[in-house]
Amino acid sequence: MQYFNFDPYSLPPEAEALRQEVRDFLLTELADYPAVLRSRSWAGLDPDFSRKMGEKGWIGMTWPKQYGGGERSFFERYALLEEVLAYGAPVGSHWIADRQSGPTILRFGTEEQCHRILPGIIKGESFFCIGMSEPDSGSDLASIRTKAEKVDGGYLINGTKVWTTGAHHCDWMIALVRTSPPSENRHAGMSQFLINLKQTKGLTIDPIKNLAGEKHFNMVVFEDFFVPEEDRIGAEGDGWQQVTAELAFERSGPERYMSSIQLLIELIREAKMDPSRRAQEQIGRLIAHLATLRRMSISVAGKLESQSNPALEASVVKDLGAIYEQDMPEIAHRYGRGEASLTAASDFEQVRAYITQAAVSFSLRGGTREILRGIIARGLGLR
Amino acid sequence: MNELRQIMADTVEKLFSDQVTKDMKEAAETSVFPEKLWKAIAENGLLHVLVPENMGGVGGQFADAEVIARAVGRHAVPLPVVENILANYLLAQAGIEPPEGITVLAPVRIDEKLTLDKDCVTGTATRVPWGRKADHVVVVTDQGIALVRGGTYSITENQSIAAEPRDTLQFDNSAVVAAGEDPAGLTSFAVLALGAMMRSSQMAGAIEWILEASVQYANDRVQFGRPLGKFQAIQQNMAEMAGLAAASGAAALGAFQAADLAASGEIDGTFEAAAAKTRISEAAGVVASHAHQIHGAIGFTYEHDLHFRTRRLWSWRDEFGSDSYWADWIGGLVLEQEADNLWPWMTTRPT
Repeated sequence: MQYFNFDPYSLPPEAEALRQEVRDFLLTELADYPAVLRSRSWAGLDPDFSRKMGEKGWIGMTWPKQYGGGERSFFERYALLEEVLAYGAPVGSHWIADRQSGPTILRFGTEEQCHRILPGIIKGESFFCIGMSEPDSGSDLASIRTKAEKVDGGYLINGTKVWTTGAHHCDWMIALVRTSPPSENRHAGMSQFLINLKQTKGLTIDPIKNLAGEKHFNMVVFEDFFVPEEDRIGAEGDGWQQVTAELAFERSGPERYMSSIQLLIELIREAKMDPSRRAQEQIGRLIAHLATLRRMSISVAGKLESQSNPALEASVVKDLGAIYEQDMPEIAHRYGRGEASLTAASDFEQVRAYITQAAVSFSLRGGTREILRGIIARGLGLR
Repeated sequence: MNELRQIMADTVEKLFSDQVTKDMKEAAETSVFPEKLWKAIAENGLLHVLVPENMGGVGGQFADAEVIARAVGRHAVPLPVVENILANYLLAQAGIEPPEGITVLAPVRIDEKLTLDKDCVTGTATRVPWGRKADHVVVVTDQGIALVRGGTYSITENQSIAAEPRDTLQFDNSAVVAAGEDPAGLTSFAVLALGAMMRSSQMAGAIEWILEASVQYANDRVQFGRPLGKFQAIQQNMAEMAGLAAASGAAALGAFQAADLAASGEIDGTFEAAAAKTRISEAAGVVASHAHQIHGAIGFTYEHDLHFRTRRLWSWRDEFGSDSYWADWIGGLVLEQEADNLWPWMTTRPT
């Protein structure tokens, strides 16, 4: 019995051609970009860089031309994502809009919403964040309490969203909220809304410092925040089904195993200078994992390209990817005999300091290890 | 999977499901050779999958052979199927027609060298799978590939952790039946990589079976009034095992596809074989551990079917180069390059 499908795919020539184009662009643009900044991967923010990506047509590149998209294949997009991740490009500003917000609007939004919102995303000028988690609803997303109450011409939203990455620099949030009180069907009564973050009335955004001192995520409080009727995405009550589809996009990309690659590169650089070759075998093991994860991840891209649901396989790759990415700083630590520090003299120790602190979040963000494994267990027929 | 490959998959699945019984596997551990099954395997052309049609073979690709190796692992077939497939492949590459009967290959360890001089082979090969049962041995040397008839060397019997024959063959000027130069650079290292690739697929097959058996057991076995599979602690381990099974299958198939590309001269497929052997050998230990954990004491008995696969995993992960050996080889390959070349190099590899 086959529980999963990881059919192999080769990236087509047009994807490889685009890869080269992107690589050349990045080598020029990021020529002097420091290793420690590269190690921020898709958490690195640079709106100017996002605009340049937009000018190149590299945001929303699979979307229909009528909204400004490129109608290019998922394989081409995959090759592009690999390259920006491999070179640590600061793609964080537009990442979420490109990965999941745009596709959600495209799939469930109205024609008017597509015309209004997508062109700005594609230009690298309109940035999105995700309004899912709440103070009392982490992994148990269906227990959210933020609610939208019907009023004349729209809805009033009350409640709190948290761990909202980028809310303080984004233009929009797609929020999952209750439009009916909880019922026996836990997944009923939720809807998704476009939240205009530039509309300040009834909205408070407070950054939350993470353990490394960075301000990436936020607490977002809604107090009688008005959302017009035309900013509801999809039908009332379809929120859960839509958010499940959105999470499949969120979990299916190469960032789920490539966000620590700078540490691997620095480890290799360090090991090359060490005549004892102590790190050689461990590096080999990491490369064997990397090659296998890449093969599996491209298979997931193939599922997206062939319009089949990648949710289960994406969960498998994300779980394996997080294990690999969290092993890496431990392996680097066991090898290293210096001190990891963001102010260290060597790139290796700087990057090691950054990734050591960041990696614990890799099995939390986008669905915890436990939630992913629950999904996999369901795929096995255990739940 | 193309049509031909699917037919082959169905054929081997049916053959092994019907014939590879628990009794057969137990008997094999006491050196009873399952002649009838071997005959059926040979008659179905499975041993000649990598032999060209003009030499009486099937003319298949490595990806076709993967189907067979996977099934051999899945069913814990107690026969030298993959060894004979490789031996016949090497012979065909050297322009020698593969003989009837059981043919195995030697050496299987990188640190052993045999020599071919004036149509005679000399040297010692240890841990040769089914050496004692072989009608012929294909000996890989720096001087070329030689076919040696059984009975022309001395045999010391030994076995693996899974009680599969792993014998020491001592050649002392053993006369060859035929010898050929290796045309495609089939050095002992290249043969080691092919063996590692075969073992990778066998392990992926065994892991597949173990996952299914564990899911089945978790659903059937009731404790505290519920099936084990309803407990989250069990689900988490099973999900981890499933991820490792998926990675193993992907890595194994990748190695065989790379070997096909290598056969047509497009790439050198050693890296994919090395990566598969490393990745899957790492997975093997965790999978075996989780499987035994969920099966409890019954899985620790000789009576239960589980050990036929777990003991093979523990054996196969060491053979044709362990994960430690191949990881070190990969590390060496990577450290020869500039650090910044890691990604550009990675993207030249086939997926």
